[in-house]
Amino acid sequence: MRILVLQLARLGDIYQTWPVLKALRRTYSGCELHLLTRAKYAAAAPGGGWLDRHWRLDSRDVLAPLVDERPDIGESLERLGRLCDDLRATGFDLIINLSFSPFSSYLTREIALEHSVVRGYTRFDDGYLSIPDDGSAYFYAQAGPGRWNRLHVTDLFAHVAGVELCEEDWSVGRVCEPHVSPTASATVVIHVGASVPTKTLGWGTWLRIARGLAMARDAAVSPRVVLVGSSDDAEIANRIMSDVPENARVTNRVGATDLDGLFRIIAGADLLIGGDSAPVHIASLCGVPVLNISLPTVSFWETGPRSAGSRILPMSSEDAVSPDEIVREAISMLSGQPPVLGVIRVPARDAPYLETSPQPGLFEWRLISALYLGESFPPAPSELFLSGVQRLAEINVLALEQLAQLRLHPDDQTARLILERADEVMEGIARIVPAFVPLLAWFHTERLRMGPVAVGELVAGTEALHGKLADILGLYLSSPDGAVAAGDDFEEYLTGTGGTGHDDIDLG
Amino acid sequence: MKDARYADADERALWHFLRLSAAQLRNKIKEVEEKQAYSPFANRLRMLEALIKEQTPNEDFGSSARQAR
Repeated sequence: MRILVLQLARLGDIYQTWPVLKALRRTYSGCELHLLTRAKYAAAAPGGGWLDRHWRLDSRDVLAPLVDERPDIGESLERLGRLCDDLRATGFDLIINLSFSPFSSYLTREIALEHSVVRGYTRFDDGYLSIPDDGSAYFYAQAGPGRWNRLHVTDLFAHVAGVELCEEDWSVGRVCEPHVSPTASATVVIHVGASVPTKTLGWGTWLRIARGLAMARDAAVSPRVVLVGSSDDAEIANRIMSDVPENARVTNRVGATDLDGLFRIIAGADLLIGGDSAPVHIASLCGVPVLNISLPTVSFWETGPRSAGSRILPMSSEDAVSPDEIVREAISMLSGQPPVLGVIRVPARDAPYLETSPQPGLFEWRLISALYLGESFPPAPSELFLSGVQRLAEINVLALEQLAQLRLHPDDQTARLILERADEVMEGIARIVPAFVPLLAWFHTERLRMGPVAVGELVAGTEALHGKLADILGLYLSSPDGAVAAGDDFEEYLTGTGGTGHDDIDLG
Repeated sequence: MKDARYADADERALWHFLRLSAAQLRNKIKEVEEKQAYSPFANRLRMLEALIKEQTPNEDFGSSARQAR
């Protein structure tokens, strides 16, 4: 079997794909495993013989002919076409798109052969988005910043790929052999940068953390500190180093290593401190505990550390927790003490995160769990929600009436217009009561998955979907406190809509 | 020469040229898709459009239902 995995996102996403690549190797014994990444991030692809071929998309090369007052679109198309033609000619039995982007969806359509099984975003024959598997449908509806998903992206990638991860898949072998420290003291690596500034702390805060750790009086730890980052972070590192006391054990390795070197530094550390960025994922692969500074623009549930003993510190802003408190938390980790702050704990790679204080979005997550994982539907969070249920149920009845009309009279324009208006009203209700967003996202995604079928089939499928929505709303209408146990049968009932028959993923 | 310009162009200049290309590409896509059912050529044009969009933040490519979230 010849398998292609598309991972066209950034460094961190590539590292978070490594366990899935290993699992594919293990699951499809004897397979030929190919990986496509951006040329810019090619260095993050795993070495060590995991891959039979590593393909690169050089976006810069493709777009270069357009950088002119008279852009040469033909030349760009030709450059893009060369990669597409080569991929298609290779002939893949299984194409796994872990990129979740419009571009990758068109690419998978271009390179898939008639017999190719595609998982992840692709395109129907009419060019509309196709989401063939339940894992990708979940990702489309529920994942991303500002949403309430609590499944880690590595687990989501595994679901899309159709594999189950085990501990062995996280083991990266020789690439994680550490650089041996000449002293016996603990080593703390601090990643001072990130792909975007909003994911990390300012240099002044990092300075206070680095200084606080290096000058720690605690006899049990007294770590040395190593700063890491890309060459783009050099100025930050220089400012930190210029203010660190001379006798402080702080070493600057920012911009001084390639990715292999970074792996070795992190593998030899006792602790990594950083925001949501590639070094956190490298630490996860190396089994090094992380103190993850999680700022509001990221979802730590999705991209947080996985190494056992890690802790996630959600911060609403850079000022929410003082540098001294962060230092105390780091020292408590080094000395095996309980948390001092309201952190999220990572007990093990394959265990869920443990909250020490409730995190926002619990109702929405429980609603998602009910829709996709067979859990009970959560009690209604407010009277406003119950009022919204009533309104949605009324709109849903109206929609079902129009669909019944369309079943008899497919050209009835009035019914179509009323259905469009019903959609607008539903969106309006979700804007007023955001707790409905996961439910309506599920609904709209399942409708989108139906694709370019005949009108009769489309109407029947949409009726069935509205029927399921009615059943869910009915659970709340029939129970005054809105608490209903729906169980596994209901989960199977809900996920029975849409898809193309390739789906056999159980998210439960 | 054009490859060198890509390397030398600052971000604003890059976005300017890419937006110019995107506008031309949109016209081409419209022309192709009006003439016939969705074709491999149309798919490739859409692919290039999507690649440009990734490089140009906040570009409004219109409300095409053919685009993923």
